[in-house]
Amino acid sequence: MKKQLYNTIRQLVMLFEALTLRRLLINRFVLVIVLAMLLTGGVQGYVSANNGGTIDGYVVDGNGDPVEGAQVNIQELGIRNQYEGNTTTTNEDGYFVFTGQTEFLEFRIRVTTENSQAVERHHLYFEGQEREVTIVLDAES
Amino acid sequence: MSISNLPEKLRDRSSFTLSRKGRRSLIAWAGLIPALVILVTYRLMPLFWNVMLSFENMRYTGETTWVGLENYQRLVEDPVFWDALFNTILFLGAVPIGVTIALGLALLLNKQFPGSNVFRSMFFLPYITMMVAIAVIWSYMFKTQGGVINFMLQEAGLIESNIGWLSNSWWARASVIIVHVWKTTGFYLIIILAGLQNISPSLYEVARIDGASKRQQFMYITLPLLKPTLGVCALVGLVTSFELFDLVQVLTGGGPARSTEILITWIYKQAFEFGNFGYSAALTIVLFVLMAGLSLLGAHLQGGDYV
Amino acid sequence: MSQINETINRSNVRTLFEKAALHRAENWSEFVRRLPYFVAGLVLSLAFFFPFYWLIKVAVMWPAGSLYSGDPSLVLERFELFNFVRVYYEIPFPRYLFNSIVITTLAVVGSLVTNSLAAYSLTKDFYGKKLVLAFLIAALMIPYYVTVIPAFLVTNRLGLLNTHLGVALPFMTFIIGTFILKNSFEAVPDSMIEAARLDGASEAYILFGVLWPLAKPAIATNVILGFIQAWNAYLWPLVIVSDRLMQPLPLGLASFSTRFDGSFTLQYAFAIMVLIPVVIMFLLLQKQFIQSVVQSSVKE
Repeated sequence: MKKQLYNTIRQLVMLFEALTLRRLLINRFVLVIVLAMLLTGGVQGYVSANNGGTIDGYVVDGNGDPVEGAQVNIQELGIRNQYEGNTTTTNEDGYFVFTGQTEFLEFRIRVTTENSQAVERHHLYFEGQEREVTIVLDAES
Repeated sequence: MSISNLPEKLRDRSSFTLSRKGRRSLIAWAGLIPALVILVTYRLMPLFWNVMLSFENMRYTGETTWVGLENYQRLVEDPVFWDALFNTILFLGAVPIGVTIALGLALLLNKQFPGSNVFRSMFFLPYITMMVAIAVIWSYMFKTQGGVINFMLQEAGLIESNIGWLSNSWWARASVIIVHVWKTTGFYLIIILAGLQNISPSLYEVARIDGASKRQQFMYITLPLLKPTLGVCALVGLVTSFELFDLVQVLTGGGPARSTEILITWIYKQAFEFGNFGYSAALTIVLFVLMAGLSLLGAHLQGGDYV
Repeated sequence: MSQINETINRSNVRTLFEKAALHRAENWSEFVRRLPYFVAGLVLSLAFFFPFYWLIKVAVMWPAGSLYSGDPSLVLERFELFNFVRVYYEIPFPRYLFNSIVITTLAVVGSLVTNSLAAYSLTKDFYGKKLVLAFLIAALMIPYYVTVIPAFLVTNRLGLLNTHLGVALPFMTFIIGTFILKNSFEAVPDSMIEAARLDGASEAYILFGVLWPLAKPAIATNVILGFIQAWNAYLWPLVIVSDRLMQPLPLGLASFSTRFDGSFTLQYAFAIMVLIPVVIMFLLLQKQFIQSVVQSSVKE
């Protein structure tokens, strides 16, 4: 009896070794899993390099000239609600910047001047993605 | 091995040895142990425990009190039980509908034109997908305002005002049946296709030479030879009705005012939302008796026609 | 000798060519004759497939405004992956996926081993075999919902509530799989097994080293059936798991859809993420899938 048990265990170990390490590693599923992990790692790396949370951009009018002194308001949008936003004004190049928006995924930008306004909705691909936006103001809107 | 031999054998043997069959039995039983343990724990024992539970009341602490037939009495007086029973039987109607549609599709796909295999897979795909995901998809297709089904029906001019698929009790029942048919038709299709391919084409040749029309060929060759296959479909259809729990929970949640509640969802709610384990067990026993009766009926019908 | 071979080879090649030419001519007229069937099949299967098309179309749509106005367009206009990003940040999807994978792997591997052991035992002739067979066939008739509540109580007593093992345990054996494996094992000629025994192989080696490689289709069937059962399971995990972090995918999807009732672009995106593994597996192993399912229902 004891000899049989010993025999059994020895044979099972032999079987186990027969699934050579090579055959286990080089097959389709393992390759797919390794690929997936590399992809995930790459994406994570890219995300952490670029999630400063800075959203900036230019406000231009219909001719392409920068609009100075326009009021720019940015608001974060949740799935079913919206949050308090920040406001800033454009400088002489029509440039505005918001920093530290590291939790933004979806947001609304509202630009107002004395005689026109524009509203745009944007979304990002990961939280805190840095984005540059160009907003065109028509005289009529 | 007579009794007179026995003492001799015992005297001759110094250690305990088994016959070859005995040794085999030991090994066989050893191999069966894991499967048997799981089966007994999760199938056999629960069945008996359920019967016992149905005569008791159980509180969350685990204490049980014997209440005799009180749960069954409550069951008879429970209006939701009768609705659920009605719905359970009604939804079984999805099986013949699905089998009929699958039969038509199988006859078409059996012509073996290029691409029939692709179509076969397209019909089969819903069967292996998660019922929860399917229910989510269809719940928005059935939306009264803005649901794509109402939209298409209106565009096609088939209806004038939107159908309240999930808000009207009868349309809600219809929607459950529609989704269930959609999901299981591919499965019946595969089985019927396998059955059709078992019918040798020479039979059809002979019939054609003898001047039988297509319809006659269908009625007198195809259908009779398909009877066992259709029987399998019916039996399996009974089994697939188990997944209705997922569908009803996610699509209608029991329906507008419990109109799509089926026995299994009511059992779940009674046990895990209201905490009435004993009553729930009684409901389970009724469901079991119903299903067992239907299976026996089906087997009897099938066995009677079996050539 | 070589001349005869040459003649044979040459005539083979010629008949092959002739056959191919005939085949091609046949094929074309066949194709034209079959065209109406093809068109009918195409129309029907596209109509049948519509919910999946709708699923993809809605999930890649952003913003979702037009869906609520009662005027959804049927054409794929925009292609935006934003909904998936939203879902990813809103729920612990990797965690749900992990739970599902662990539970399914436990169920599939466990059922493979358990069913194989039982099937191998059933190929032998032993005392009480008839009893065991009768028990197994009787157990087949016990539907799973009859066992849900007591199984919950048992799992509770074992302290396995909210664990992967607790969810996977009932799935670790299914009788149909055992019978399929048994038939497959019995098809192996006895002489092979005898030879292995003579070489000194133990029972375990015969099962795992000799029978398993020869029963690959049956093993594939077992794996596929077990996978479908465990991956799509909703009622049993719902009963066992109350901790949100231990939920497998079906539960995650259901609770997400009740929490965000109304945002159905997000729900559709989640549904796609949930369906992708099964769809990919199916596309790769179509024939085996279909074969497995047929085998499991048409019991000989």
